[in-house]
Amino acid sequence: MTEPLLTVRDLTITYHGHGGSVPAVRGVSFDIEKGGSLGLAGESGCGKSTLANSLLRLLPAGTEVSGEIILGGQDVLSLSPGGLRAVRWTSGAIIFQGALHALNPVQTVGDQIAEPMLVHETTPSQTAAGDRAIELLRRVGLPAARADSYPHQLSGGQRQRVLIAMALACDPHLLIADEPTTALDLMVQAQVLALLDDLKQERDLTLLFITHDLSVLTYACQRLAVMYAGRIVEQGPSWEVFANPSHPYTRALAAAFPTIGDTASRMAPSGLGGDPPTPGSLPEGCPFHPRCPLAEEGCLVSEPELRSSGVERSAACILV
Amino acid sequence: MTSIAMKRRRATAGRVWKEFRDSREGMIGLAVLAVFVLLALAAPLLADLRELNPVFARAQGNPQWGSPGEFGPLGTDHIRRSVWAQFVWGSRVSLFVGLAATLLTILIGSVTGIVSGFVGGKADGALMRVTEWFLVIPFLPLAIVLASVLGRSVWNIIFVIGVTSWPSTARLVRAQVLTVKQRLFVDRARSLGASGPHIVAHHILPNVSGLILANATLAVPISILTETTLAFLGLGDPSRASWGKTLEEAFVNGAMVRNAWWYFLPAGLGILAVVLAFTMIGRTLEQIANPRLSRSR
Repeated sequence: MTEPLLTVRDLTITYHGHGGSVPAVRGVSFDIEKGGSLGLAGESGCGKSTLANSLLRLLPAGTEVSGEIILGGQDVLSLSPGGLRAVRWTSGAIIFQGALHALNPVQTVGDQIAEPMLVHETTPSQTAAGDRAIELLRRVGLPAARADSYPHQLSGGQRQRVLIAMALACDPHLLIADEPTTALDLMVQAQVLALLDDLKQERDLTLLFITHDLSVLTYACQRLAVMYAGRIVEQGPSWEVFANPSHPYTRALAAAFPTIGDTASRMAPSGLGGDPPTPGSLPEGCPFHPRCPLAEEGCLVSEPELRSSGVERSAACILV
Repeated sequence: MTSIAMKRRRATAGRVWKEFRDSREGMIGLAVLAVFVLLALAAPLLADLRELNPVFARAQGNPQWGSPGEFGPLGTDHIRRSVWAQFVWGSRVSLFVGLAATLLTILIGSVTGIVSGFVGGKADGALMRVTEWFLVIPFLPLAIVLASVLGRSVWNIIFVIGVTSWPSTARLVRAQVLTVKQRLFVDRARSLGASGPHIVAHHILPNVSGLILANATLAVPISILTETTLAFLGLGDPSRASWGKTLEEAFVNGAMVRNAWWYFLPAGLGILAVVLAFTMIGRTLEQIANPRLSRSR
């Protein structure tokens, strides 16, 4: 295993609101090696996006963050404001979900792609930044003339390509893709995933991919981590985790996808009953036990830690 | 980049102008305003400034209380001065005070609103308390006190209007900044390492500038009316003719009783026309800047 580009240790994130403290992420640890890719899966509200935003310290002021985030050798949580701004986008860039809202409606997309280069002064002049923006647009499969377009003149897929081009502007080492394909139809989703895959090979990018769609992750990532109620409950090589899940929650997620060719499963995909727990009031013991088909008395006693469940695999369940 | 930026600015200006042209209200306002701006600019050609000097007027042999029939085109006042000259030269002061006071209002209001909305927290609290303080002060007494303490000059009038009418602009701009600040592209800009000033200049300001412009055109008529009010109350610049001052002198010297309609009517109608023109332009710009209003048009 090569040296990790991103190391996260015991990351705990607590939001302090009017209704009390809400632990959104509770003791998450993982590594991504240089050139590797990790997929983070889970239901809405399990802490995926909070985790993604914390990597560049983008959480709202007053949020309590503890643990360790080492990105490219730098301790993100102890950086000064100036040092933090320098790290943003050059070490790690984010592709946001909701491409329409992540673009400024009154600026052309060319200017917006050039913006990070001007902020970080990575190009010698404004003209050079504009030229590179056009080059990046071409690379993500849009014609150069699109640089003069405003966001509302583009389709959803084109906007997502613009955001990808923008993310590449400062040659970041780590690319954080926060549900980049959620609002897109299947055909465009496949194109965007193929583009991301190409770019990853071409530029030796390290990828952190976040989505609720397990099948997307198995396609896009080498390793997979499944989150539930602010913790990682299972991780391992993605195809193995998808095909042969150890944790009952992963099993339910994987089973929610119909198998192609199997009409029975397409007509009645098996889902998971109930809702994920509110982060503010987690159940005693394993937070998944109220929804778990295999729950037994031992599950109520304490919250299970991650334990080995195979080669390079681990799961947090007492049945493993 | 600069050429692209210029091209884009031209394109935006072209779009706004096209929408503006489609509005009859806006075009009428613009035409009326153009007439008065030309009148103010061409004042030296249209009327002799010396006509405002009672000594010169007497030497010229002007009639006292001369009707438009006796002395063209608009008659004379109680001290034989040409009302036409007062009207033409007065338009300069009224327009100038209206525009300059608006500039000051918008400047203070926008800066306060943007800082308050964007920085938030304690700065927001402090600035908004100051704004509220200015908002609840009864305007006219303060204006009268300030005008009489500072002395009677055009600049003091501008200052008085500026410092008393910015709070509503500040609150409006702050509200808009708060909504723009919540948009994802601001988070995106922050995540790519942009500083606060960069975000304000590149993302916040372009998204609130339409509102500021529309608010400015609506603030001009209010400033002109305020100047008129202050001048009518005798707080205007004694050395310069303005429409408000003409109204005051006509009133004090009994033009109403004498039925000397030519003395006060031109200034009154002039104020009405300019205020209406600015309001019409402002409403049209507001509709262009705010698509929700234009649909109900």
